[in-house]
This record gives sequence, structure tokens and C-alpha cells, in this order.
Amino acid sequence: MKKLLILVFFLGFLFFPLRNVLAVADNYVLPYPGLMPGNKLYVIKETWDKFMGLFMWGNFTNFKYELVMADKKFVEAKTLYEYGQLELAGKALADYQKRIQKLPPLLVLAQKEEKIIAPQNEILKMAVKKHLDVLERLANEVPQQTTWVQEKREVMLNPKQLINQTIILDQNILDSRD
Amino acid sequence: MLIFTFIYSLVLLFFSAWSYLYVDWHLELLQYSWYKNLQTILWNFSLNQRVLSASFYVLIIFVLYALYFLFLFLAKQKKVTSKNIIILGAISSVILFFSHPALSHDIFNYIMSAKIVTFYHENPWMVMPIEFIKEPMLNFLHAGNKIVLYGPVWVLITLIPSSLGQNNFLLTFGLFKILVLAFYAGSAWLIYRINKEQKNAEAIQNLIFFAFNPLVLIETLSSSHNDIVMMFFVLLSFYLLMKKNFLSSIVYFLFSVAIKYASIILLPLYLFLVYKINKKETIDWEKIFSWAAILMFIVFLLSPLREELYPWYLIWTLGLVAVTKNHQFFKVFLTALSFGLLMRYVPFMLTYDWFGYTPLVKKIVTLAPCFLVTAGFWGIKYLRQKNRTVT
Repeated sequence: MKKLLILVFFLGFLFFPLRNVLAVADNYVLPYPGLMPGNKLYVIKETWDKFMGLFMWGNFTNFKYELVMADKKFVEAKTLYEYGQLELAGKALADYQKRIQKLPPLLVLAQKEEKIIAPQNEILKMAVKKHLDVLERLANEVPQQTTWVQEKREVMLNPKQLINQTIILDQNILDSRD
Repeated sequence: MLIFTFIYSLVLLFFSAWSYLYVDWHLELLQYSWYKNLQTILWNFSLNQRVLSASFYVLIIFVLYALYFLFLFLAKQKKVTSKNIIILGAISSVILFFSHPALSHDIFNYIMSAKIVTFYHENPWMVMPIEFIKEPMLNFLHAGNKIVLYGPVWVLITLIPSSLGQNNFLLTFGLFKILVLAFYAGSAWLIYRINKEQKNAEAIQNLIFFAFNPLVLIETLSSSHNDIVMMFFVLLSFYLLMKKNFLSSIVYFLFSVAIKYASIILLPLYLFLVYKINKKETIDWEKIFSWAAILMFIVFLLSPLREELYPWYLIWTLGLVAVTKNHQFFKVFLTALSFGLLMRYVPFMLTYDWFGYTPLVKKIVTLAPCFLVTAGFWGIKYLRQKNRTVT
């Protein structure tokens, strides 16, 4: 009887298989912020991202990796600006600038390897346009200059200048991709 | 045995010829005009004579199973030797090497993933085949929009045939088939050795149970699925544990997980086994392999969560059940299930449609043999018990 019950249980799986459903998004979507700078566990996220970077070989692979990293940094910067964390936001935006500048040369190298880069080019343009939309909104919301006061130290910040710098950088990338 | 071997060879030859009915319409295996003309005739046949081509398949499977049961019976009568097994294995390997993977296109995905590394110098876990727009394999690749689904050890292994193939599709295709064939032979040898280690008098029978099961033959030697590679390393790791070679065993177990992640389910059992051997306790290997087989069967049943119940996933359970002495019913049940799983292809062959009635018919043809066998088994058991009570 026990064996029969076990058999019926297993056969049930064959007759009533479990299903999963996949959702597909096709517009350029920025990633979810996740762990943010300032969080004690952020170092784990950074270390993991650096570790994953060791396994990135090839121009297309590095393009995807750097774009994911650039998007991550951009979303961090955006969220931090929105929450008024101007110093951390500035650092994140500076990181973003380093990452986004790596992308066009990777596509040039891929093209030299006779790979067709049109889809990657389109993705880069979509990403940069998305970033520009956000940056143009943020430029109107942040102060020109501010003194950032923390325990035992004060820092002069120019958030609007940094954002405008990033807008120019992104615009140059967009122009070079047309 | 000679006459049966001859019939077996003929059936396999017929299967190999039949397999060319289902070459992908965008795949040109050879550039010669005579081949193109022949392939066009075969395509027209498979498209316009669907009932006939499906019937040929069903007939081949029926005959293969009949011969399979015959070989098992002869082995039980001690009329099959190791030499016979080697000859049958060699015949199966050579004939099915020349068959086309009609039932699955996974081998092309394996070739493409390796090509992404060896030819395009990119990371296949990050870049999909469709991102290489000029790639000719995209014409017949069925999973071009996916990154590689397997672990790093599998990709590393496939770099060997991919590098040796020098971007020549036919040569690379042949080398991949040889690679899988080698692991099939290795798995068969391990099953035999593990049975011998357990002093199992039915070692030859168990070897035939696995190595000549038509599902194993077709999905391994014809379709070249990498499940046999994962099972080779699982069996090797257990075999090395039997020999108390811990370090190598752990390495090969990790290899199996790094090929196809399914074997991770064996980790708790494996760790328990290492602990027991370390404590110098007696191991009931029959129980261990039984539990391993059940665990892999659970993963097989849960596979629809990810995508679908694929027939070749049964190789995981068959490989482990083949190293057990008992479980007569489970072995018979799995044999019936393997038959049902091979029948799953028939609805598509008849309709060329994965939707409509096909999913329901697939379920019915898979389960019907299982129900029949279970009913038969319990019926015979009931009658025997009744006879004993009467006497």
C-alpha cells in the first residue's frame, strides 16, 4: 500500500507538471538600486562585482559588463541625489563616468574583429538617452554649490557642475554613435 | 547471439537512415548536389508522409525494446559475455555516430557555445549566439537567444573538439559526437566496475539495463546530450569513494555539478557518505545508490519547473539504478517510462505542431506504459499471493 501511494505521488508529477511563467521586458529599463553606498554590506556587492569582472573576456562581454556596471552606478547616483546624499551621489556619478567612457572603444575593437556592432550600438544609444533624461531632470533639482557637513569635516560640493559635466560626456557619446 | 546482433545492427542502421528525414531545413550537411537532391526528397517525405515516417519511428522503438528485453533475458540466462557487450557497444557507437540528431538540436547549442569561446573569443555566459549576426549556425540553432545553460567544466571540455574542429562545422560535429561517445563508454565501464565492487552477480544484466536501453542509446549516441557526461563524473566520484580516494572523488563530484547543475541534489547524500567512510563505518552501498537514484528521479520530475520534462533527463536515474541489485519494480517502471518518453516525440512528428492536442497526447503516451506496467506488476503480485494462500 505504501509503495502504491509513493508511486501515485510520483506519477502525479508526470501528469500535473508544475509550470513557471517568464516575463519579458523590451524597453530599456534601469536596474533596481539594491544595496546602496553607505550600507555596511555594500562592500560585499562591490567585491562581488569586481570578482565577476575577472571572468569578463572579449569585447562584447566587456561591453555588457561595463554597461551593467555603468547602469548600476548611475542608478545609485540618481537615488542618492534624490535622497539628498550629495557626497555619495557625486562619487557614484564619477564612477559612472569612468564606466560609460569605456563602452565606445570596446565597440570599435569589436568592429575591428569583424563583428557586427549595430545592436550593441543601439543599446548604448538607448542607455545613454535614458541617462540623459534623468540627468537633465536632476540638474534642475540640485544646488549649484553646497557645503556638505558631516561629523568632524566639511566638504564643498558642486553637484550641478558634476551633473552638467556628465551630460556633456553622455551627449558626446551619443553624437559619436550616430 | 550472432543473429540477434545482426538484427540489432539492421535496426540501428534503419534508425540512422530514418534520422535524416528530420535534418533542419536550413542545415546543409554537405554541399554536393546529389546530397542536396536526396535531402530534399527526405524532407518532402517527412512533411507529406508524416504518418508513415512517425510509424517507422514507432516500429524502430518497438523493435529496439524487444531486442533490449531479449538481451536482458539472455544475460539472466548467463548467455551474454563481456565480449558480446563490447561488440554490441561498438556496433551501437559506430552506427549511431553516423545518425543525425533528429530528436534534439542540443548538440548544435554545445558547438555554438564552444565556438563563442574558440572563434569569437567571448564569454558564452554573457553573450548569446544571436549577437553574432553573421554567424551561419544561427540558421538552424534553436536556442540562439540563450546564454550557455551549463557549467564551466562542460564548456571547458567542449573547447577540445571545438579547437580541433578548426571552425569546420562537419569536423566539429563529428568530434562532439566522439566526445559524448567516449563518456558513454566510460559510464558503461563504471557501471560494470561498481556492480563488480558490490559483488553483484547481475553485473552484466545491469550493464545491459543501462547501456542498451533505447532511450540511452538514442539520446546519448544519436542526439549526443551531455547528461551522460554529468553521470560519468557522478559514477566516477562514487566509485572513487568506494576505493576511499576522497580527494579525487570530491573533485569529480564537483565536476559533475559544474557540467549540469542537477547533480547538486546528491550533495547531502555525498557528504553523509564521506562522513561515514571517514568514521570507518560499514556502508550499505545498495541503500546509497538507491537514495541517489530517488534523488535524481525527484529532480527529473521537477524539471518542468524550469522548462519541460525532457526524455534524456531519465539518463540520470537510469545510471544510478543500474548499480543497484534490487528494486525490480523500479527498474521495470523506469524501462516503461523510458519507452513512454521516447513516444513523446510522435505527436509532433504527426502534426508538426507543439500546441493544440500535442501537449495532452504527450502526457498520455508518456504515462500509459507506466500505468500498464504498474497494473501488470501489482496484478501478478496479487495473483501470486492468492495462489500461495490457496496452496
